[in-house]
Amino acid sequence: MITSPCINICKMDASSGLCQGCFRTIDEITVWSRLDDAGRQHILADVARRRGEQAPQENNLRSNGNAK
Amino acid sequence: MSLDLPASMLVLERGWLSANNILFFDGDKATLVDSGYVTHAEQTVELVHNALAGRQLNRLLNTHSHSDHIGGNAALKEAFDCEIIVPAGLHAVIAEWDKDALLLSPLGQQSARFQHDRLISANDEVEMGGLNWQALAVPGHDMEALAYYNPEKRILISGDALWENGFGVIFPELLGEADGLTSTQETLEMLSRLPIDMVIPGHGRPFSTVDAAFDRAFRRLSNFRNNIEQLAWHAIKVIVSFAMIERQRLPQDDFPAFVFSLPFAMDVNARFLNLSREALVSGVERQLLLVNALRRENGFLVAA
Repeated sequence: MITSPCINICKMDASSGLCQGCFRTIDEITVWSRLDDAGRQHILADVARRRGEQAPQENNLRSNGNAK
Repeated sequence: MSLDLPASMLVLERGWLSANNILFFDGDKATLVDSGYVTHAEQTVELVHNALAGRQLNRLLNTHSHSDHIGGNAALKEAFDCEIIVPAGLHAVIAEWDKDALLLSPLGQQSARFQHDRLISANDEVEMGGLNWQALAVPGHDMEALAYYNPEKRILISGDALWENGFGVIFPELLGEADGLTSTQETLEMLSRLPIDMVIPGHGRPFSTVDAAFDRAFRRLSNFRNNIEQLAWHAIKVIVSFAMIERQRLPQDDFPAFVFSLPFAMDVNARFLNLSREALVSGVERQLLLVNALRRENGFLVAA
């Protein structure tokens, strides 16, 4: 069973087009309930990749902030 | 595993703060059941707009009037000018926007005021997605709640009357307003006699393991009936957890005042548990940390 990555933030980021909580697009959230496990795995892999791409930036911001 | 629903239906599976939204297509028209929590309304409108793909949303129907099911009503009305249809028993509390009866004030929740256009009563039928749905009275979690059942495809839209793992908090019992435990028992018995192949719950994924869900629901209800303190404690945890999900994060030191600010938690404690304020707060915090509903992070409590 593959559960939804929703963490109840449910707000779209206008610049990335991704939900700020689960890192899915509107299309991906819309179709989630119709997908089989393979389709959901595919989205979760994309979500993990996007999260990874965003995290280093956040870390940079944080360390820059600390440096000041 | 995905479940095959008729192509004329689409479940927008949401989380806990927002209930699921169920969209039905009828040619170039569409109907939505339930609209999520108010702080998610913008995304709800975007999801619905995307799924409509040019169709017109002409009706919005609610299962009951709790904040996680009606929070997007005003925004959807504004975006799509849809007709809003609510369970008949909720006419007055919605018309007068009675924040106590809507449980907004007791639970420390927000919503956006809307006006309904029409009422639907138990035993009424409504056509959605080319299918005929019967409105069923499902008192318990909310005494005026309706579920929607299609006998042909054997699908139940249960709202918070039945989930894959349990059901919504039995508020009327805890508020001393009605015999919610007996109503929940009768509602579950009524539902369990229906031929059902699939349940679309208010929260969580649609499921077809219906017998197992009824077994769990009856067991849980039996525990609550044997031990009302268990229901009281469960309800307090759920309500604090819900409020924390909305808040996202809170300085650790502010948590006691936060719990004390939720009238429902305080009333239920006074009525059923009689814990000291300190014991109430530390108990809730410990239990929510234990089940990972909260985590500690640099002096903050964060909803997980």
